[in-house]
Amino acid sequence: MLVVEDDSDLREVIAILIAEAGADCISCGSLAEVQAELDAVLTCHLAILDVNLGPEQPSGVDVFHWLRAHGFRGDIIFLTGHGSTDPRVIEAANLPGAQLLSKPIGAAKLVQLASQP
Amino acid sequence: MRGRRPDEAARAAAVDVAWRDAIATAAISLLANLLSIWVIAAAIGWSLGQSLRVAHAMLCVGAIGYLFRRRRRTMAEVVISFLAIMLPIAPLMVIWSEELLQIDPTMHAVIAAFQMIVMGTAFLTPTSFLLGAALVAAFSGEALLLWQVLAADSAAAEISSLGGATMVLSAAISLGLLLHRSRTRDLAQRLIRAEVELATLERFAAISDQVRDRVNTPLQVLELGVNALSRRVPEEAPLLDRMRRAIERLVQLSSRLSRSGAAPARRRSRDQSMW
Repeated sequence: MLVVEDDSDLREVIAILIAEAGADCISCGSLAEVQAELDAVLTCHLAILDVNLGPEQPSGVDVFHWLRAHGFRGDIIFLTGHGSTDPRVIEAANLPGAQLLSKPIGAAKLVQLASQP
Repeated sequence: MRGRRPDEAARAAAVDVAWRDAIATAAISLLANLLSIWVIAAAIGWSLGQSLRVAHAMLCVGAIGYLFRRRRRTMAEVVISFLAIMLPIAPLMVIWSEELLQIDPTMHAVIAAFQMIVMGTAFLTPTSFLLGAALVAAFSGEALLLWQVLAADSAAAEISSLGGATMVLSAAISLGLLLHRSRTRDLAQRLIRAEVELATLERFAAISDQVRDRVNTPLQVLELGVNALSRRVPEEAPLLDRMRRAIERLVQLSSRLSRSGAAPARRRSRDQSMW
């Protein structure tokens, strides 16, 4: 499972929970880190992408396009703390095949996602 | 209007409009005095009335200068300036009417002059309907009185009651105009208040959105962190349950901020669709 989240605390706590659930997790804080992990990333069945990856940084939507362009076939879920009127959130919600979840999601939901085949 | 309270913004806008009305009153009075000086000088020559008109013209210039120099205007100053221009017109009109009768003994010119003053008063009186109505009544009464007194000694006595009737009609139309301006002014005030309130709500909504957006990620860390802890340290379950409940309350607060942020946007969208 791939997690792309610019907040290091959240990235680490998600990695801990997923590891405790028995799944593998690749944590990245930006598109550049995802690009550096290309081979490992393409083996993931699920990617959870934060929509906003920080000011002046490529967004989760950019990561989505990059992943699809490089043959990522797994499910992609956007996780956002922004409201539904944010332009990037609207863009993410309209991407084909993507799902949008609002922060905070429960631990059970996260573990359930990580456990899906 | 940004950052102003609704009543303060509406009051400032009302003073601004009244200020323009007072400036226009002074400018039109100045023009009327200059034209009168020219007309009477050509027909009769120099007289006491001419000197008084020059004085009134200078008063108008002074009022314009005073109104333009005031940066922080108040309604009281504007109204006083307006009255300083308007009130001397009443005695001036007595003298001018006698002069006009020497040019046109039928009183038509006198009545026409009063009608213009009354209509001008209705168009330009700042702020108060009652002030405008009092001035319209005063000038109309003066016109009718002069018509009775002066016409008795002139050829105007022969011209039926047409002059008086048209004067009364002008006064009635002027009162209607004053009433219409008063209602329009009230509507504009309410619109300004509503716009300021909307702007305030939109600012609050934007701040709510920012707070909610920034709170959600730390909340997510707490939510998942407490869950991880409850698995690792089951003996601390009562304490962790309290923390979980506190997080739940924060999540509810965050979602309330979200709803308050959406409301003004919906209202603005509806307002725009009306237009």
